[in-house]
Amino acid sequence: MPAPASRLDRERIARVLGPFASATPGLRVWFADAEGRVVAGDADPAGVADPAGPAIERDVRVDGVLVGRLAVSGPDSTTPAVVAALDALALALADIVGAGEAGVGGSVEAEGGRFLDAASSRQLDALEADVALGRQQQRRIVSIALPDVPGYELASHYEPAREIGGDFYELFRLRGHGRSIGIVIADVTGKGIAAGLLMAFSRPVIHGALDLASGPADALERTNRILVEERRSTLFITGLAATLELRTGAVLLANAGHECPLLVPADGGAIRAVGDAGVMLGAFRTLALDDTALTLQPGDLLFLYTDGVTDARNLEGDRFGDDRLLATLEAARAGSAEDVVGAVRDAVDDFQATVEPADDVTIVAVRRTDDAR
Amino acid sequence: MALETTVERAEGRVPITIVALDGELDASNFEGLTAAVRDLYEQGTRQLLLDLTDLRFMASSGLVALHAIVRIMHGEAAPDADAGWNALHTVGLDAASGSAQTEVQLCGVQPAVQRVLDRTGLSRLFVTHPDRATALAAF
Repeated sequence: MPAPASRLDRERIARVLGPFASATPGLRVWFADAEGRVVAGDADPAGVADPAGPAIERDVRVDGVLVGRLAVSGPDSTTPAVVAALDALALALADIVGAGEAGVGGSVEAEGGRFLDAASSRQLDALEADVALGRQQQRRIVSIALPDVPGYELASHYEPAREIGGDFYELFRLRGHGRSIGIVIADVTGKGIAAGLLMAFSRPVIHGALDLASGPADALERTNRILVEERRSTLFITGLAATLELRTGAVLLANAGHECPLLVPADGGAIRAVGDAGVMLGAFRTLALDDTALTLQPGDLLFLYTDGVTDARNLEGDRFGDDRLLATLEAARAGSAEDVVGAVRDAVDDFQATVEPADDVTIVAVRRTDDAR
Repeated sequence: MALETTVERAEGRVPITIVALDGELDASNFEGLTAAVRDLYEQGTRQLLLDLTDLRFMASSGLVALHAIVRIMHGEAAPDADAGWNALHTVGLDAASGSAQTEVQLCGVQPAVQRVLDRTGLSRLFVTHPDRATALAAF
């Protein structure tokens, strides 16, 4: 039979939880009995573990009977590594509680500790390796070579967050339009492997749609239809698609819930957001977007980015925000597309300092140079 | 960043659960918020007011949480990342379909959060009130 709350060995459970919590800063881990009373872990005196509730919970069962729940919350509490460790911990706690019930005592703690060490370190290693590999793969998928386009400078920066994220971008020559390129930048909401998979699925879909559609709005509409009707997902995508006719600098763009791109005019005029954002991809059956038209004059620069730029956080908890982005662009506007991308990348990096980025950062700049014909 | 969640009950014409969010809703805590609302639903909550007066920031992950909350309060099963959900429009939860859901309503939405809702179109899912008192009277 399961132990009633009073007979759960708080001290022993606390000793097992301790190293786990201290391994990850900010992580809160606690164990509550079957009635939800916190038995051990990061609880305040009132017994409230985390008012926001657990990010993840694991049932702890002995002989199939629920004896309590193990929970974590806090930043990074849903990374694969923490999930794996939590699973191992739940098993170890079941062993400890179960063995305590059976009156084995003594060696149980050491046994549980050894089990935890072995299981979690093995799983953590494997998962860290998996995540590192996934991130590498993601970088490879997302960061393909930019096309070489006479008369234009194309530059990009992509930095995936430690956890697999969902940003992607692409600049490519449009099929059947030797004189036009397609530009896509997007962000799958959420994070982790699900976001990564939806990213990997969606990018070629948008690319193909832009190749075949009558324009960017039509391409996003087609993509949305596929996401909504054929590949249902619990996640969404904010995305922007554009076409650029190289000879004239004519741009058509459509925006499904993404940050509006910024136009940095060559004549020194004010930097301004282009177009309006419509509904994001994957949530509603129709988007009803319109194409926005503009023309890049020689020297004009179009700047595209994901919210990893403006949402970047510093040690004080402030966000990078629109104002810093605009100030950085203003200071760098005379440089090449590469310089502008580099300036924003460096400004975000400097701002974040030692704070672990929570989100992917993607930056794209397209400048029509003076010698464009 | 931290997100503090306060749960209160109110009696309008119907019992209403108020969840007040204080802080920032982002990738680090959106799953926790979803889980908290799922618990409330399982404990009997059927009308939910999200008081966003003190929510200073919402990242795009927050949109996933808001969407999931509407689904949960609409009585749908737990999200399954593989099976996914129907588009909101197909099940008539959005204002464009002429039958916006009313199980989840918002109040005190700050400009920074409103911008994210408007930009992505998710604002069409919600009836929004200026403050808590107005909201409670409207349920």
